[in-house]
Amino acid sequence: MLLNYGKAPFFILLVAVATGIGVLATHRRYEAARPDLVLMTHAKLHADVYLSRLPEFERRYGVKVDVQVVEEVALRTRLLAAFAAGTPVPDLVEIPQDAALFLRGPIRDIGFLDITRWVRAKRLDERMLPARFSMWQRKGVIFALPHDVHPVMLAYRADIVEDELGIDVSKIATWDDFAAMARRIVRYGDDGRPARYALELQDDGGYLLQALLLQRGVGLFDAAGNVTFDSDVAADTVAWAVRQLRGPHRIAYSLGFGPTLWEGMQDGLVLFYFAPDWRTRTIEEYAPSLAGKMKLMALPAWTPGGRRTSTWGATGLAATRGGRNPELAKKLMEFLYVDQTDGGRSSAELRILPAVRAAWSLPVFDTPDPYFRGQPILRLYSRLAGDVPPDYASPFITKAQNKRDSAFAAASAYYSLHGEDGFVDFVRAELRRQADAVRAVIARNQITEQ
Amino acid sequence: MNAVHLVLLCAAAVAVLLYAVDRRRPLLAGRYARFVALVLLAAAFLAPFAWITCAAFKDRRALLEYTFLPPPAAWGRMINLGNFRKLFEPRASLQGTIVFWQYLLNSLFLSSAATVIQVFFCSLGGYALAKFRFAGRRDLMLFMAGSLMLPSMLFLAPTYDMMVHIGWIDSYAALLVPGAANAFGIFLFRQAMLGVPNSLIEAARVDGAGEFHIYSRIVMPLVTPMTAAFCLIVFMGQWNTFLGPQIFIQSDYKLTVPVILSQYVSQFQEEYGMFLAGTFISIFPIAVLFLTLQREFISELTISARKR
Amino acid sequence: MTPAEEHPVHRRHRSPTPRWAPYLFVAPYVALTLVFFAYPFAHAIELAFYQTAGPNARVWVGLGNFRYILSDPDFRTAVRNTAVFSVAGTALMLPTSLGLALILNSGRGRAAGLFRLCFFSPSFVGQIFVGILFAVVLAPDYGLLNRFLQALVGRGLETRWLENTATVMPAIILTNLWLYAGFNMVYFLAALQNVNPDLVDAARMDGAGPWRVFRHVTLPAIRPVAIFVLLISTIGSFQLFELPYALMRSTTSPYGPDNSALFIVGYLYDAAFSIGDLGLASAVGWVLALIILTVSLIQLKLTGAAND
Repeated sequence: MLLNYGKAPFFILLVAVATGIGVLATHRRYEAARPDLVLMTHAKLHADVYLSRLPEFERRYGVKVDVQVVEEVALRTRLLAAFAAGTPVPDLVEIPQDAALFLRGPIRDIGFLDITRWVRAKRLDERMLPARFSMWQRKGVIFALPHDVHPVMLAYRADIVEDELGIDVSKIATWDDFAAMARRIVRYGDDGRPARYALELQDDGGYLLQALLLQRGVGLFDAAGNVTFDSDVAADTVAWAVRQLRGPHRIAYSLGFGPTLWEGMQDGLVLFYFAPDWRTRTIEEYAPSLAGKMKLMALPAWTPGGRRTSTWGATGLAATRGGRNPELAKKLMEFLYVDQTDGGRSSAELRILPAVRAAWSLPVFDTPDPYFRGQPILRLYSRLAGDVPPDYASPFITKAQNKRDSAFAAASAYYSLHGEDGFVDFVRAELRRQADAVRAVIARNQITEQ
Repeated sequence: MNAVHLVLLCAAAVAVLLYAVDRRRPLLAGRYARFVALVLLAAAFLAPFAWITCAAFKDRRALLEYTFLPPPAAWGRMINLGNFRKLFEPRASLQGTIVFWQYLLNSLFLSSAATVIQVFFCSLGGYALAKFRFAGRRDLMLFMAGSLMLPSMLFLAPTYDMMVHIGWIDSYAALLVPGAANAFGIFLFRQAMLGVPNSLIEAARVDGAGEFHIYSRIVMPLVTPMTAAFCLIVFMGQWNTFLGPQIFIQSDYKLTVPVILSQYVSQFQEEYGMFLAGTFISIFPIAVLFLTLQREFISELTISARKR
Repeated sequence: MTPAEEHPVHRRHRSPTPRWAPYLFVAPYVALTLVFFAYPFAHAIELAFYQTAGPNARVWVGLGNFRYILSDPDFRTAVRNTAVFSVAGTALMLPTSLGLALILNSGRGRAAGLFRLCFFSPSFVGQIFVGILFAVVLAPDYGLLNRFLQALVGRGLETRWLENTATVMPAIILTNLWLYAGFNMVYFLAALQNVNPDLVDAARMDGAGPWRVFRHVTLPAIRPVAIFVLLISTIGSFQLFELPYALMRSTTSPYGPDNSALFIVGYLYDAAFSIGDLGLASAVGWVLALIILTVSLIQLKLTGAAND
C-alpha cells in the first residue's frame, strides 16, 4: 500500500525510519545525567575555556555542570520567550551588553536574580572595577557580574609605520597629533600606488564611533537612563569622524568586519586599528601573516592629558530567577569570574582582562607576545584598565544604537553633498532628532517600572 | 582586456560568423545565440556555488585573496581539507562530544519525517476538498487562503507560550506536528486531484470500496507526480528552515545544520571557512533529491497547468 | 477541463457517498489548526491591545499601539521599503523567470534538464545562508560581484553595496532575484507546456513575428499561472525578513544604514525583541496582515481572476 504514493515518498519514508532510529540511538547517549547547573553562553571561546576549568569546580562541590553555546540572537529570543512563558531557563546566562533588554519592565519581573546583597557582602563592587558594574544594574539593583574591562588601544602595522616610515608613535599624544601624522602618510590610490589609510572607522558609525564617544565620556544613556548621545561633545565627535572618512584630508577607511577586514589589514590598506583586549586574539588568528609586524599603543587623547583608552564590548554573567540552585549558581559565578584559581591562565589565553582588579597584577600577564613584537600586551592593557569609562545599561540600548548610527549615516551623506556648509548644525540637529525618537519610545511606556 | 572580455568577444565572434556563413538559415545562429545566452545565465546563477565550492577547500588565509582558485602552483599551500576537518572535529559539550554528523542526522530525520507526515495529512485534506461537496467547504477554503497571507512572525511568541504549556519545548514534536496538515499542501493536492476522473471513484464506490481504500488505492497512485513534487518542496523547506529549530530546540545535540552553521558566523565567531564547508555539504542531499525527482517535479506542474 | 468547481455526479446507486468521509479527511487539518493556530491567533489578537514589558507586566492601551505605529516615521520607512521591494522586485522577477522559461523552452535537447538544475539550484540554499553568503559576495574590494564588475567594465571594485543607503535595496532585490528566479521559472515552464503548438504554427504562418506570437498566443495561455506567480511573489515580498537580516549581519545595524533595509516584518521583530513590547509587535502583525489582504484583493480584482 505504501507504494501507492509513489516511489519518492516511499524512499523518503525509509530514510525517515532509518534516521529516526539513528536519532533515538544517538540522542539517548546525551540524555544521560541531569546536570545540576546549566550555563548558557553566546561565545564559544568562553565556553571552551570554561569547559577546561569546570572539572575543578565539579570536583569541589560534587556536581555536574553543563555548558551550552547559543548564538547571540537565538539566546536573546529564547530567553525572552522563556521568561515570558515561565519555561525552565538555564541557571546561568552569559550575556552580551545589548541583552540589557532583559532589564525591561518592573524590577520584580526581571528574569535575572537580584545579586545586589551578595555582591555587597563579598565587596565585589569594590574588588571588581566599579565602572563595569554600571552596565549590569537597574535602579541600583545589580543583576550580573561583569566579565571584563575591555580597554581599547590602537594596534598598528609597526613594520610600515615604524620601520618603513620612521614614525615615532610615542610622540602622538592627541588625536590632533594623530591626524597631522596621518595626513602626511595617507595615499588615495589615484597616483598608481596602492591606497593607504591611517585609521579604520565605519561608514555607519557603529562600534568604532561608540569607542570614540565613550573615550570622551559620552555614552548612549546616562546613569539615570536618559538619552545622552545628542550632546555637543557627541556632535563634535560625529563631525570629526565624518571628516576623517569623507573630508578632503581624510585619513580613515571603512573595512568593515569579516574577510575584507583581514585582507585589508594584511595588504596594509589601513595602518591603525582599534583593539580592545579581545580583538588581539582575533587579529592573531585571522591575520597570521602579520606576526611580528604589529604593535600596540594607547589611544591618542582628545585633549592633552585626557583619557587614553576607551571600552568596546561587555559580557556579564547572570543567574536566573527560575534556576534550581541559586546558591550553587553564585558559587559558580564566583569561581569563573572572580577566583583566579588557574593563576589567570585562562584569561591570558582568552586575552581578556578580568574585571577583578587584584588579578591585574598576576605575573602571567607579563608574558611577552611575539605577534606584537614582544610587548606584554595584557600588562599594557592592565595599565589602562583603571581609566576605562563607565557605560550604562538601558532596555532600549539597541534602539539607541540604531538611531545614533542612522544619524551618523545621515551626517555622512550630508557631508558628501554639501561639505562643511552648515555641516555642524546639521549634525547637531540630526542627533537631536534621533535622540528624541528614542525618547519618544521610552516615553510611550506606561508600565510602572517599580 | 582580461579573461571576461576575451570570453565575451569570442562568443560574439562565433555568433557573427555563424550568421554570416549562412544568411538564408538564421536558425543555426539563433540556436547558437540561445545556447550562449543560456550558458551565460547559468554561469551567473552558478557563480556563487562555484565560489562556495572553491572557498570551502581554500585555506582560510586565502579566502578572499583569489576570487575562485589560486594558480595551480599555490594549490599545495592553499587547497586543503582543513575547513572540513575543523567542521567534523568533535565539539566539546558536557553531554558528551558531538560531531557534525549528528547535526546532519538530525536534519535528515526532521526533513524526511516532515515530508512523510505532510504528504499523508495534506493529501487527505486535498482529497476531501477536491472530490467532495460538504457543508463548510467554501468557508474552509476561504479560511485556508486567508491563513496563507498571515506573517508567521506574528505568532512566534504565543506559539512558544503554547509549546511550553504542552511541554514540547526542546522536542521535535514542536517542529513536526503543527505543520503536519497545512493549507499550502492541501491546496496543491487538491489541484492535482481535481484531475482524477470521478467515474473511477464512483465505480469503486459501486463496488463497495471503503473511502480510505478509494483514497489510497485509486486516487493517490494517480497523483504520484504531484506527491513527488510536494516531497521535494517540503524536504527542501524543512532542511533549510532556521527560525523554528532555533527557537524551539534548546539542547545542543538536537540542533539542525542551518542553526549550527549560523553559529559559526556571528559577531564572536568568524569561521567563514567552516560555514562554507558546511553549506557545501548541506547542499548535497537536496541536490540529490532534486535530480531524482526533477522529472516529476516539472511534469506535475505541467499536468496541473494543462488542466486549467 | 473546467477549473475549480467539479461536482460529483448525482446518481442514484446502491452505495451513497458516505457523508462523514470528507469531514474525517479534513479533521487532521481542522484539529491542528484549532490547537496550533487558533489559540496563538486569539492570543495575538488580544495582545495587540496591550502594552507589555518584561515577562508579565501588561497594560491595556486600546488603540494606542496602532496610533503609535501609524505615527512612527520608522514604520513609514518600513512600509515604503516594503512597497519598493514588492513592486520593483516583482517587476524584475516576473520577466526574469518568464524569460528564463522562454529561453529554456524554445529548444530541445537533454541539456535542458541541466540548465533547469542550474537555474533552480539557488533554492537549495536557505534564506539565512544566502544572506550570509551574499554579504561576502557583495563585499567591497574583495567580493565576487565587485571583482566581476571590475573585470567587465573596469569600475565598481569599491562599491559598498550594503553600506550605502542607495545601493542596499538593489542589493537585496538582486539577491532575492538570484534566489527565486529559478523557482518561479519552473512554474512558467509548466505553464508554457499549455501553449497550443497548433495556434503558434497558425500564427507564424500568418506572418506574425515572435513578439506578436508571444503577445497574442503565449501570454493569454500562461495568464493563470502568471497571476498565481504574481500573487505569491507579492505575498512573499511582504513577508521578507530573514534575507535582509542575514545580509546585514556583517554591519552593525541589522536594518541597514539609515533603516534602508528595514521592512515591515523587521519592524515587527524590532518591536518584539528590541523594544520588548509584544503587544506592539502583535499590532504591527495585524497591520501587516491587513495590508497583505488588501493588496492581494486588489491584485485579484485587477487581474480579473477569481479562482481560489
